[in-house]
Amino acid sequence: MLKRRNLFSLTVWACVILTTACSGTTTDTAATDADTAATGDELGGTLRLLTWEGYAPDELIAKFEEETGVDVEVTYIADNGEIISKLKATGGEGYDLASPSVDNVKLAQEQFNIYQPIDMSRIENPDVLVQSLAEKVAEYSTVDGEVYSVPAVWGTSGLIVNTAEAPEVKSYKDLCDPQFAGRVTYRSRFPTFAGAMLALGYDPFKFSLEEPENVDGWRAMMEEAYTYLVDCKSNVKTYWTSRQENIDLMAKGETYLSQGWDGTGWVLSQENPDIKFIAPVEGALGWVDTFTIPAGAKNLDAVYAFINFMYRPENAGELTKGGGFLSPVKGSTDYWPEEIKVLVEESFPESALNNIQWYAPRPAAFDEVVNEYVEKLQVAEAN
Amino acid sequence: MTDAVDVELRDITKAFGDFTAVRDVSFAVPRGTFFSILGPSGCGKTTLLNLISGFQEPTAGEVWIAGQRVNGVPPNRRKVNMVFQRLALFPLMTVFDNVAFGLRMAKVPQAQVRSRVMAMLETVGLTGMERRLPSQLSGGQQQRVAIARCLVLEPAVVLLDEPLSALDLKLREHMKLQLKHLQREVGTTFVYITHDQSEAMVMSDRIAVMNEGQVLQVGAPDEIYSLPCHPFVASFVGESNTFQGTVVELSEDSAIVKDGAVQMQLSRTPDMAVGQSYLQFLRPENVRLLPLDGDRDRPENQVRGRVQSVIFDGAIVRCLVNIGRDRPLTTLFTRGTTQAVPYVGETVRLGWRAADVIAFPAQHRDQMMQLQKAQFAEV
Amino acid sequence: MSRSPIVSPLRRVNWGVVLTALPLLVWIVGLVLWPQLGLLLQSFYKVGGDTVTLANYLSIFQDSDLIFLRVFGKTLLYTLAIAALTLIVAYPMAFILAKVLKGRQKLVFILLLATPFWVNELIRVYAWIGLLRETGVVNYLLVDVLRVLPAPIEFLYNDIAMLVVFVYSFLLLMLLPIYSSLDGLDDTLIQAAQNLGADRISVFRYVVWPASLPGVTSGLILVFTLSFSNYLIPTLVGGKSSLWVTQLIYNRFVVATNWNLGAAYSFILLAIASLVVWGLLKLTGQSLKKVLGS
Repeated sequence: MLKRRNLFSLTVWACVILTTACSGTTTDTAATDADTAATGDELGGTLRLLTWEGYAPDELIAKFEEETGVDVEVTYIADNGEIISKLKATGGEGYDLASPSVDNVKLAQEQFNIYQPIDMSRIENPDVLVQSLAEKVAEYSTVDGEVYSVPAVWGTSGLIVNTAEAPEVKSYKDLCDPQFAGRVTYRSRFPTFAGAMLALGYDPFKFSLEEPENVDGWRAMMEEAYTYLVDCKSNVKTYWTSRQENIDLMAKGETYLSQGWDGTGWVLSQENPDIKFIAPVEGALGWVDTFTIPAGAKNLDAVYAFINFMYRPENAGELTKGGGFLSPVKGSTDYWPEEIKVLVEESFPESALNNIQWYAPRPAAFDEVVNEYVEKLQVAEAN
Repeated sequence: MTDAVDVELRDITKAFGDFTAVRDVSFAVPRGTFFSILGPSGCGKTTLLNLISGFQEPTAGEVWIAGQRVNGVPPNRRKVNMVFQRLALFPLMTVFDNVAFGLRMAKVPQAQVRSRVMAMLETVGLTGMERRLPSQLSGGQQQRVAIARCLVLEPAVVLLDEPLSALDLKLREHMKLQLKHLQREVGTTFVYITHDQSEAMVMSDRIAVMNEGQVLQVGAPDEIYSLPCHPFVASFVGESNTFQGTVVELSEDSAIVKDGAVQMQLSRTPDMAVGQSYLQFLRPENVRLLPLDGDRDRPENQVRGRVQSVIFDGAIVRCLVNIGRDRPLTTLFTRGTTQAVPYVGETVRLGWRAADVIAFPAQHRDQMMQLQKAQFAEV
Repeated sequence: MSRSPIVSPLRRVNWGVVLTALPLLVWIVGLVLWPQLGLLLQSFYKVGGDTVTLANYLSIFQDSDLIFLRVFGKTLLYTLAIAALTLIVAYPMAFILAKVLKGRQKLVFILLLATPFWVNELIRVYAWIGLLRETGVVNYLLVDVLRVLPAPIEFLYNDIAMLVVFVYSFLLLMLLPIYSSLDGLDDTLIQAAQNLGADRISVFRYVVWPASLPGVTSGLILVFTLSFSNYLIPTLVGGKSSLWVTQLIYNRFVVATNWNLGAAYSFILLAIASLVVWGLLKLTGQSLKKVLGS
């Protein structure tokens, strides 16, 4: 299992960053799309996106609208649960395309039946995707033999460090180092527990894939992580609740150390070179957000046009430029500005890439335990 | 002024910035009198009230209450209680609590509060109403609560700020008498503010007539009415026919004054001189309808005219007679006297005695203007 | 009506009134009652289950750490404190506005108070964050300008900061109803009380306070219910331990996607809030009708 995951991440990075061989397709795709645009074959209508901030930059949306004549309406969400809640409330109506994390799709689909399968034949050039990533997404989002998601954006969470104040940081354990008391921030959500579990020597992702029935085992692990995090609570200035809050705390020097997303770290690095995103020794936590189509999507032509549009490397590259998000499209790195390339490579030497811990789908019973402990952590008094 | 005096104002002036609301006012209110301050709105009478009650302090002069100088004493420490224009009953308190309020503030023992309040409610005829809220009472009853609330404190003086103005006419007439009786009964000094000369006339022992911040005359109602010492008093109190004429002839004890076509004889005053301008006031009840012929009854002044209109006001008949000048002459008599009521258009002869004409030298043109304004306001 | 018994019942309905009220009716039934009813029904089912059960309601007593009860209790206590603090801050302001200031001054005062509330609540809360944070304006003043502190202090992320922002955010909701009651209080009532021998304290106690009570109650109810159901302020300003009951409900609906339990929590919230409102009305001797009118 572990081996498979290593292989997976290696391949991703091999294509995304280290090799340029895959980018051969770039020109072809661009040329094809240019032809399509030239014919003036306008789609029209509206495309209602339900996505995260930064996944649909204004320039890209404007470009897409101009090419297709489709009106794009974007609704931002800040939590995977929000996507599920919104779609659950309407039975999958109201949006045409959503971007849930892949580890959420299967459970949501099984419980609430809010998505519809992807018609792979309408993806113009599936080969443009990093294959291992595409396969993983397909595997994690298959319900009753149908695939529900294709990859949209991926990234990791790890440590964002102000190296001027905390030069020696390399592990999740450092978040709880008393010398940083009051100078630490993270979320009171599952990633923090996952980091704590890894710091304590457990592998929560392996566990949820291999022992999905073992709720008691999961609870025992969560309990241990919880106790560890309650002890750590006095170190925490506050639990951040939005990406911007994390950025503010780090940029103003109010916290030196945070568990957060790689893209957040790179945005901060460009402001203050002392701040770096570090993949901890226990491994950065890898996530993949997807293109998943709600059951009640209205404008399927526009949906696939948008997916295909975002799969063009020059467009995919834009995602990283703005918010530091990584694209699963081969050759998108060609469109990165030099400084981003440097930052990404600095954060992810080969060993760190190999060590990415990918989120795996969790059974509902595990999530209930997680939610319970997340709240307990917030209620607990700091020691 | 050897008798006890409850309120005395000595050379009181009150200015608000550039505006002087009250100027050099002095008067004394003898103990146990019903004293009215009468004047048109804006004359400064409410300011006087506030100065007595302590809500305002005079710019100059002294306020004395029950033999003590009270300048600088806050309103809650003066032995003066006030009945407000809008009564200002506490809307959320029962009648009992309203009347008991002052006693409780004075920390009177509970048992005593009860007996005094009940006694006072009996005095004002509100026994049995003590558990009602003010909103559940009639206008007249509310009035009585407001007065009881003051009287229960046994103050030296009760100030009343036009408390009848909110009542309808009939109730107002009734309350006038009631108030007077109540004051007689309890013997407390009442200082009553009003712009209604009839209220002042009916109730008061003494009246101070005010205009433009000054007290013009203080006296008993009859004195104020029949012997006004200022043209404003003459015009503001009661109804008058007014003339403005020039003295054309003087004799030993009378003078002839001419106002356009109308020429009349009046009693001479020592300072009269030919060519001087005079304001004359003639009460309508002193103008009599005379038989067209016959000389049984020959007052000094007589004039002929045509009846312009006849107004019946209950027992009183008012005739407006055109005597060949811009304003008709008003005559007033009681129905049922021997006099037959004339009809409109009839030619009549009117007469009045020289002694009934009240005359003041007209110093200023604006004095006349002012009088007309005051008369207009009264209508 | 009795004159013509033949008139059909339909004729007796005033269709004009019905048509005018229709949007309101649709609003209340369709957008308020109907979804509420749906939630109420959901609260009696377990997630994914199809038998009626009280399990969701009972779960608040069964959960190992009694998290719901603890958070709920804390929220309730804090909200009552917020309502009381807001009253203490708003009352003198309302009094000055109603009884001391005149004409233009009044207008300027109201404008100064109200202008910040023309912007979104989120922006106002962020403004407070900018003031109170460790590198914020208040610390800058205290440390760099006035030099009364040697080093910046973190004012944010604790319960006191949360209370301050709550009181600020709901100040107008307390101030305006009190102002409106006090404005309706005839000044001569105050004069009358003074004239009858009352000192300042007695005037306040017997005349001003009773007259303002409908406004006070209405303000207390508004501030209480709105801070009880507020999500933003505890989330952004509250500390690492200030979990609010709304966050708990949000977690049920959004994070855990357990609408059934979330619905049960919501209705417990609604019931307790109604109970407190009822208690406030009893305590102040006011009726809902009077308070809504103020």
